[in-house]
Order: sequence, then C-alpha cells, then structure tokens
Amino acid sequence: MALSKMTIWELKQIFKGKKFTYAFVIQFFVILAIIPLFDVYSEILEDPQEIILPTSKDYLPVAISSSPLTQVIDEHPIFRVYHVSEEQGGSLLKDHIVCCFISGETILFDENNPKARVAEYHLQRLLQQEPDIEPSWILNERSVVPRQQLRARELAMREIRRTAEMMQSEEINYSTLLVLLLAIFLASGILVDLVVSEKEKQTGEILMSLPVQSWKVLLSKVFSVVIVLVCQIALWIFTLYFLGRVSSLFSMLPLFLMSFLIISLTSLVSVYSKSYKEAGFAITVSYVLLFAFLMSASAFYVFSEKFSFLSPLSLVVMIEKGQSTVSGIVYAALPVFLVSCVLIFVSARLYGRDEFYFGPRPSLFRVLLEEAVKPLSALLSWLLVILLLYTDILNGVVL
Amino acid sequence: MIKIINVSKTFGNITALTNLDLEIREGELFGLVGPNGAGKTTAIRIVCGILHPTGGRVLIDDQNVFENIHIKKRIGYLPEEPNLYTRPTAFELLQYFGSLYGNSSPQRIEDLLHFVGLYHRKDSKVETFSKGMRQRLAFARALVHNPDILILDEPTMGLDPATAKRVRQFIKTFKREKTIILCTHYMEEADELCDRVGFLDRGRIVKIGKPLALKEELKKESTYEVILNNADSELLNHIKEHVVSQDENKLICALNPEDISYLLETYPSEIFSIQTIAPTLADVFERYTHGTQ
Repeated sequence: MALSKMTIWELKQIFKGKKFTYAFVIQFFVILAIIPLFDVYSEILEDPQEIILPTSKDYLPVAISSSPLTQVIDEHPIFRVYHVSEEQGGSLLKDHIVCCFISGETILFDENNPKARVAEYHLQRLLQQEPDIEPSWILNERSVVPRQQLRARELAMREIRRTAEMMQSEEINYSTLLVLLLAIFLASGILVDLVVSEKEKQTGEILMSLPVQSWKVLLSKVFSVVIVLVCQIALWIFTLYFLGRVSSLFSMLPLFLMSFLIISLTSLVSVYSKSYKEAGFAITVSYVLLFAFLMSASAFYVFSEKFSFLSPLSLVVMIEKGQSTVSGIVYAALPVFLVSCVLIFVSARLYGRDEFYFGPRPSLFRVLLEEAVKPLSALLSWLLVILLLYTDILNGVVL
Repeated sequence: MIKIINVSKTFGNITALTNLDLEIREGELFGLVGPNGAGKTTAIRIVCGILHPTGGRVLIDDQNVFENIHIKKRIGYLPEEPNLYTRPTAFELLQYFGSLYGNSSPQRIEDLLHFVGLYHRKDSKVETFSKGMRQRLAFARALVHNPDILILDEPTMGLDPATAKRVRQFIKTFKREKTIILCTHYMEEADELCDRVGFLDRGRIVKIGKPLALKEELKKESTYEVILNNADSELLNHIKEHVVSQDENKLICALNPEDISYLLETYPSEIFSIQTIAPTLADVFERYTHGTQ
C-alpha cells in the first residue's frame, strides 16, 4: 500500500514540476523537427554527388585515357584524375596507384583495391546521367582468375545495391528512432532529481523516519519514472508509427530494454551520489562506458553473429535481419533484464544504508566488498558445506 | 518507555556516541542539551530509527525500533530544519504523510492546521511559506498520526521570538500527554519546559537530572560574579580552576566563602566588586560540558 501511495505521490510531483513540462515540450518539438531533417538527410544520401565532404575530396585515384567520360569525371570532386596514355594507365593499375583505369568506353578495376568498389558505385551513378555512353565493364585479368575474388566482388556489388535500395526505402527512418533516447535521458534526469534532491534538501530524513522500508521508498521513485518513461516512449513510437516512420512495433522492444537498463544504472549512481554535481559527473562517465560497451557488443554481433545477449542493440539487428526467434529473443533480452534487476536490487539495498545520507560515505571498494564479495563468499561457503555433506552422504551410501 | 542501551555510533573514524545509556519515562519531557557536535542529533536520529547504531540498541516498550518498523508509527519526529516538500499545498502535504501512517482524515488535518495557525493557508503551496510557517507546518506533520512519542530537534532554532514562543506553547500543550525528547541549545527553554535534562558532551552523557536539582547542586558551591579592575590580573591564576565562565574582566566562579575572604585580603586593589548569583541551567551546562552554547 505504502509503495503504491508513494509512487502516485512521486508521479504527481513529477507532473507538477515545471522542469518536466519544459523538457517534455522541448523534446516533443525536437522529435517532430528531426523527422523532416532525416528526410532531407536520406534524400542527400540517395544522391552521392551532393555529399562530397571535404575529407572525401580526391578520395578515388583514377587514370583516364581519351574517354568520353573525361569531362564528367574531371568535374567530380571525389576523383583524383591522372590523364595518361593507354600504356601508363595499365601500369598505374597494375602498381595499385589507381583503383580504376578508364580507356575509351572501357573501365578496368583493380579488384585488389577496396576503393574500386566505391569508384564503381560512383561511376555507375555518373553513367546514369550520360545515357549516350555505354561502357563495357571489364575486369582486371588478375581479379578474374581467383574465383573467391569474383565472389567477393559479386557480394560487394550486392551490398552496394542493397544500401542504395535502403536509402530509397522507409528503413532509413529507423534512424529517427535514435531521438527516442532523449526520452530515456529525460527520465534519467527525473530519477536523479527525485533521489539526489532528497539528500540535498534533506527531505530524505523524514522519509527514513516513516514506518516504511527504505527499499520501498526507492522503488516508488524508480516505478514512477519507469511509468513516465514507458508512457512517453509508447506515445512517441505510436506517433512515429502513424506517421509511417516505423513499420514494426515489435522492433521497439530493445528500446524498452535499453531504457530499463539505463534507469537501473541511474538509480544506482543516484543512490551512491551525495549531490547533483557528483551524480552528473558519475552518470556521464557511466553512460559513456555503458554505450561504448553496448555499441561494441552489438558491432561484435554484426560481424560474428555471436553473443547477442551482451547488448539489446544486437536484438534490433536480429529483428531487422528477420532472424528473430522466440528463444533467440529471450536469449538476447533476458541477461540485460536480469542485470537491470540486479542493479535495482543493489540500489535498494544501498538506499537503506544511512552512510549514503549522513556522515562519510564508504568507498566504492568497500561497498563492493560488503555488497558483493561477502554474500558471494557466504554463498560459496554454503555450497561447499552442501557439497561436503553430499559427498559424505554418497560415501555413506557407497560404504 | 524509551531505553537507550549502550548505544555507540561511529562515522568512519569519527566517534559520535560512546556507550550512551538513557532511560526516558512515559509522559516525561526530557531535554537533551549539549554543545555543537556533542552527538544530540545523532542520538535522536537513532531513537527515530533513521540512523543504525554501530553498537547497542534502542527499545521502545521493550521493542527494538530496528526490528519492528511499526514502532515508528508511535514516533513523531521534527528535524532541526523543516525539510518539507515545497511543491504541494500544506493540506496535500499533511494528507500524504498522514496516509503513510494510515491516518489521513481531512478533519484531523484541518484540526492540525487550526492548531498550528495555518488553516487560512491550507491551500497555499509550501514554497510560499516563511521559515516560521514551515516550522509550524513541520510540527503539524510530526503530529499528523497522533504519536505518543514526540522527538523534537531544535524546534525553535532560527525563529523570531514570537514564533519561538508559539512553538514552546505547542510543546507545553502535549506535556504529560506525550513522551517528548527535546533537543535544544537554549538553556532557558530547557529550564522552562523539561522535567529532566541530560547533558551530552563528546558523545557521552555527563550529567542528568531535574533542572531545579541541578541548579541546587551548583548552589552548594556558591556562584559569585567577580568583576576585576584588570582582565590580566594575577588573581586569575589562583582561581582559574573555579572559573565557570569569563567575559573579559567579568568572571562567574564557583567558590566557597573562605576563598572569597582570601581574595579580598590578598588582591584588594584588583577586585572591583563581588556578589553572589543564583546559578542558572546555563551555568550547570558550562560546569559539566567542554563546549559553549
């Protein structure tokens, strides 16, 4: 009863606060503004001539010998053009100095050079603008011989075509969903405010004198924030769904998992911190570490298709690739959910310790020792005792 | 009723309380006085179940406050600072805390607001209240569940004389009806209100008794106000052990009549005047504690 009363109270306080209203409205406009921005971005991506960044200038070295494409290529900033004779062009290609050699209406690619794929893509786009020219695509002799390289080239071409198709499709709009992280950060901010302000304004002293267990006090704060967050994310996702930006609501599951993980981490940091200043610094550091871990874990999954349980982002990839099965989703989602639950459990335990309110706070090492090492060693001791007893019983049975 | 048995509390390397033993009887108004940092607030936080003691235990009617959380329903706690949420109205705030104690009837809350003189502001947000009003509201919050134990930490600190007088009146209303622990710096307040007083110094109870008895005890030694012609007088070296307090050339000393005769004969030119004074609780405080008020 006390837990539900306190949760409702915290929710009321959140909605009464001007900070939340302002942040909510600003966030709403950012999300609405970001949709047309992403549309423009995806249009730009569809036309590669428009997105030549300063770093991409002269990125592709090509050799040209009297070709009708000379003028078009000369004007394209991504190409670094060598005007050569037919013989010189051939040797530049063999020496891997250029990634392709254009001679007349024939284009030769150095298949050992990864830039050749990019050059091929750009040339294809240029050729679409010059319908009079019909070049014959000729592979370099060395690349034709090993079949593996040919296979690699086919795969690369398929990947390029897929990317181009993706850019034109609605799938790019999933990037829009990144802005939903704003909602998660807002919720984290609210949680820090709810927990740390009790310490800074000393209202927590009253809460500790109430006939209510301290873990209920913390959980009421976490629950109220989770309710706000779930409603908020659901609202954004449905808005995006009706605007046609999301085709599958199912793929949003990892977002909820991520938010739970971030909220639980925030609760732990807030319980440990004594002031906003401390909490701000600790949360920045922990978020950076968390995102670095999650991103690298999902990148690892993309390459190896292993260890999907390390990051909920892997689950997005899994769903997007259509590889999701019920067991796969449980395997990928359960560990993150359990870690979040453990973080909440530890936060609730620490919240009951008065050192985090009054007097000098114990060091992280001491907290770790008391909260993790001691229970673990106790658990191991019990397991050992049980094992010994079990062995004795077995021996007794055998004897 | 309240038994504090061998309670110790350390914060890291700092010892706040050492083997504190105290018994407070039912219906008693007990004053806990002591200099800053003596451990008064730590002691009452432990009684309220806010701080866990490093050693010892606190029993309320033989039940440990840390083992039976429902005991807290019997305690009304007023911290040194009002520490109230500022967004809700006075009525909402009392209703919320009342609901957590299982006692949030609107009638009870309105009666409490009448009692502390804030009924006319019941729908105003707490953030619009002055310090005195907040303190009165905090007092109402401590009483919202009609506890039989009241623990008050410096209830009149920082208040103007009129509001402080009003708060003292509230405390007097509950004398005998409730068991009260009053933590205060103000000796006059302790003298006026308390049935018994405990002097806490450096985490230990150094003296305990009824205010009148404590003053009488000091009177046996006789307290004199000695005014010297010169603050650097040699006389000071002879009586420094008997000086209770000194304000430049004005000394309050606990001496016997023989000492006075000796001083008048030996240092006649250095003494401006000598007169006997009735000891106050502040004198007792200074006699037994190392700090100052």
